[in-house]
Amino acid sequence: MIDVKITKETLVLEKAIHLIRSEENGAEISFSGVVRNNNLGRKVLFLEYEAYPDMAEKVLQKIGEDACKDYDISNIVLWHRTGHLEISEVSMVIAVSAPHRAAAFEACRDAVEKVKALAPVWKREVWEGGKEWIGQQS
Amino acid sequence: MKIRVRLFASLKEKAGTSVISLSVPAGTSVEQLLSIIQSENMELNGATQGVLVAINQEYASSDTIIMESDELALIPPVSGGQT
Repeated sequence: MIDVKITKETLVLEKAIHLIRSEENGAEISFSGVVRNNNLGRKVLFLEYEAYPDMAEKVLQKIGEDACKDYDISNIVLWHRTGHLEISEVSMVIAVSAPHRAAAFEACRDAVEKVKALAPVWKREVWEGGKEWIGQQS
Repeated sequence: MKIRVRLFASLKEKAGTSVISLSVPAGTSVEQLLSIIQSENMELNGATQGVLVAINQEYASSDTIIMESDELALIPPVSGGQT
């Protein structure tokens, strides 16, 4: 089961966990990307995420398919939020279930890194006195 | 041929629009497209460093030839994040 979405709606981790749960799997790992209140010494007020939604969903789908091929896992959720996000809101959720924990940990980490590197999603950081689109250096 | 190129994030903001239309010769490659955009759009001059081109919603290599019917987009560096 691969479930992907790019959405303006709040991401609810429990819903992702519910989707990946299955009787043959004994390990569930999830990653939540959360908006931090600081970056490069600046006090961040909020973030704005923008995506190329159709392409981003295709990229997430491909990352999910590769994860199912490369690791002993069968269920993976890859979600990314867009729009205005306040501090401590969840910007992305990756959740994986597998028969055993090693594959779940590895597949989850690998998928997170690939989403960060490949998904056409951008964030604009808004801090006191300015704002800026943030590239890969952050 | 006439093409339309979608812009996002920093490029959209710099250009002040989410789509640019331009005329390019048949047989134009991705690499040539980026130079044409730079020279024809003052706002985007110097802004395409690290920018990738997506053709029909997939990343394209610099020598890929673009077609009139392609959905084209400029993809500035994505949001990334420290590990």
